[in-house]
Amino acid sequence: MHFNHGRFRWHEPGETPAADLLRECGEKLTDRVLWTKFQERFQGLIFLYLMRALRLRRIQDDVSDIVPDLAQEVYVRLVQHDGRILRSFRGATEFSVMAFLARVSFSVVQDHQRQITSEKRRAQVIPIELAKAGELA
Amino acid sequence: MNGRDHGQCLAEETLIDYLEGNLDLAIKAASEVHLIACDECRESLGFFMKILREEVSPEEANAVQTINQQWHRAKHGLPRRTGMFSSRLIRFVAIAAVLLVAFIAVRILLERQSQPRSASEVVQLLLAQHRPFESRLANEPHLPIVQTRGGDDAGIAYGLVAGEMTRLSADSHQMGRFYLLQKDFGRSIPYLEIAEREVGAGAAVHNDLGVAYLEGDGSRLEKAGEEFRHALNLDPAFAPAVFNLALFYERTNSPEPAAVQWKRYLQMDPNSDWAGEARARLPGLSR
Repeated sequence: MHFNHGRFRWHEPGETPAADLLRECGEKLTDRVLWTKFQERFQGLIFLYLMRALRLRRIQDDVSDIVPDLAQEVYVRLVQHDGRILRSFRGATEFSVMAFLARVSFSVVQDHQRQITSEKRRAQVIPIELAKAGELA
Repeated sequence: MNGRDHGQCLAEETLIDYLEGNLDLAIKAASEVHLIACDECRESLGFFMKILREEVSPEEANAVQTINQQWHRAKHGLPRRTGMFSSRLIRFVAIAAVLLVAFIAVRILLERQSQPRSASEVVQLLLAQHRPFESRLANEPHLPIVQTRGGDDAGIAYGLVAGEMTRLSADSHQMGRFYLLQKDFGRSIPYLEIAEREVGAGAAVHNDLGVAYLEGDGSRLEKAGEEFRHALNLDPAFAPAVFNLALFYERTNSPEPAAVQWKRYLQMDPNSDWAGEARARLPGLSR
């Protein structure tokens, strides 16, 4: 992965265009070489987008713990249903690939947030007996 | 989408196309009119702009590198159930429990004479400790079915083992079996469906996919039967598929074909513990 502080470099000159690589992965879901390339090229972006979405949604500040789990969920979404999401990609530019990965990452974060909310709601349910006992006391 | 006085809200795709500069001039102009009036869409646009900005702060770069190192150490091979614990105390207890279970699992693995050298060996080790279903996976050793209340993960630290599966480069079939052992059908079925489409997918793959359909939420029960029959077309002597086909007929209220399959199974494998189960089921079907 390539970083320089200030800019995230994820594409080297001469490499397969990002949009083509994404489309090829959608066509060859079990091609290990291709998916290794995918991981090398896009995994940093997926981590970055998940991290930003978690922070912007104020879900949690310390995201390093949760991002790998959510990244795995991103991969599952990309390949599930015979790679339907990947095969729906119609973009041609690098920005469109970034936007595609950002949308999938964001949707995973949204679902994670919904899960947290519903669990909090469930946790707040107080059995009626306890509530009555509280009133009497 | 909401229909207020400023009209239909912009779809995520439209917002992204707007950012990329892909919209027709007319649609772009209409979108801008809407964006001026709609706080929600402006907020969404700002959100995507922040996520997609190319500039990366040193803090973000460091965080991504840390996460990347964690990933490569394969400590997070399996997603944990996130967001389940509302208080720090419960979280601490859960972590302690996970560590304890991980310790026990490591001990169990270490007590074996040799460490597994392939993902299929890992799955075999797990199958030797725990029978997840009534139905039978390929190469599954016989264990009696233990009915438990609540979770039945047999104290296996699957998160820890998932790292091992990743390290050993498990293929789609073994990943599918691994998730199937945990009754995680949402992950298992996509992997097994990929394995099924691979060139040379054998009876074992079709059998295991059939088990996933059979033991899942019941919405693909009919496909389970097809997979078992497919397995038997490929290998008529594949006994687990006959066992599972009999179970399939039982569960679809077809006692006669079920009895035929149990008898067929007993002819193929008359002396094993699996045969004991088949024999025990037959009288109930002839009543």
